[in-house]
Amino acid sequence: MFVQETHSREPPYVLQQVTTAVSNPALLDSSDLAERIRARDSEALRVVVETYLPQILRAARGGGLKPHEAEDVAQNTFATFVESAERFEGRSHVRTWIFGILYRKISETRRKLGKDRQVDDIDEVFESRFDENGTWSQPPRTADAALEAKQTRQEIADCLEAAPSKQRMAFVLREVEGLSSEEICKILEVSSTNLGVMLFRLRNRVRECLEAKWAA
Amino acid sequence: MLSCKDTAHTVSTEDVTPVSWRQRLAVRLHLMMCRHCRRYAEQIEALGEATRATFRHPPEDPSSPEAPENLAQLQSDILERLSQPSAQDDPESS
Repeated sequence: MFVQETHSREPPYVLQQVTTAVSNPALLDSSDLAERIRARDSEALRVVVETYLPQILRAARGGGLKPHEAEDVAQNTFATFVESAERFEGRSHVRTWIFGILYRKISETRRKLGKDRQVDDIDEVFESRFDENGTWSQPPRTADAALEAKQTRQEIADCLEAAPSKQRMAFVLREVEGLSSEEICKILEVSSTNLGVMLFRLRNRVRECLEAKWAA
Repeated sequence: MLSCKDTAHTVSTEDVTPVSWRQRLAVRLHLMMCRHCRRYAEQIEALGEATRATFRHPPEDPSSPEAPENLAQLQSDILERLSQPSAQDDPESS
């Protein structure tokens, strides 16, 4: 029988998917992490960067940045993280803190690029699909292909492009990173009611956008 | 009976909004009886799955910062930058 070897002697390496071999993950939960970051302790910095860099890059891409923009934003996120370590007191998890910084950098970048749309008419669009009794007057159209098809991935990326940064980030943190709603609320500094509204709008906006493409 | 509009609203927010068991049951019953809402619910679910598949899959482009070699390089660049305190964030030097 094949027994999986522990790879404690190998250098840290990155797997294709979501996991990273991190040498000392327990450090992330230790009570003196903030202090060690402030002191620029090299092991603490290495564990934080090894653990979160892949997630930061993926979330930046999910948040609508191009690869080189994602790279810049990731660099700046860690720089700000260390500079602001004075204010990080370990009250929230280090991941929440880092993702909060990332979110602010992404929305700043998208605003500069003029990509952050402010007008949002999805509530009216949603309402218009029902009659006065709340029954579908325009029922959802059948998808003409399975949603996982490669072509559809591109369509989803296009449809996400039109969404406001905050909604988009909420959706990516929920669906791709699988974070709890409590943590997402802390990262985006919104109430849980607000998070529900944002996800409602994002999902309906993208669904409507895809449906329009199926009809074309 | 729960309306289609309320069902669709609950379906698209229930993963982040607390839903009472009564409401949850009403939604399940409605979905059993209404094919339009069933289709809507399937599409909301599939949208999440397709988004996960899109972004969890690293870009095939070898110049992407997520490509393994670039990631290792970026990681060491960042660590190098972080280990050198700049004058402006070192209060001792001012």
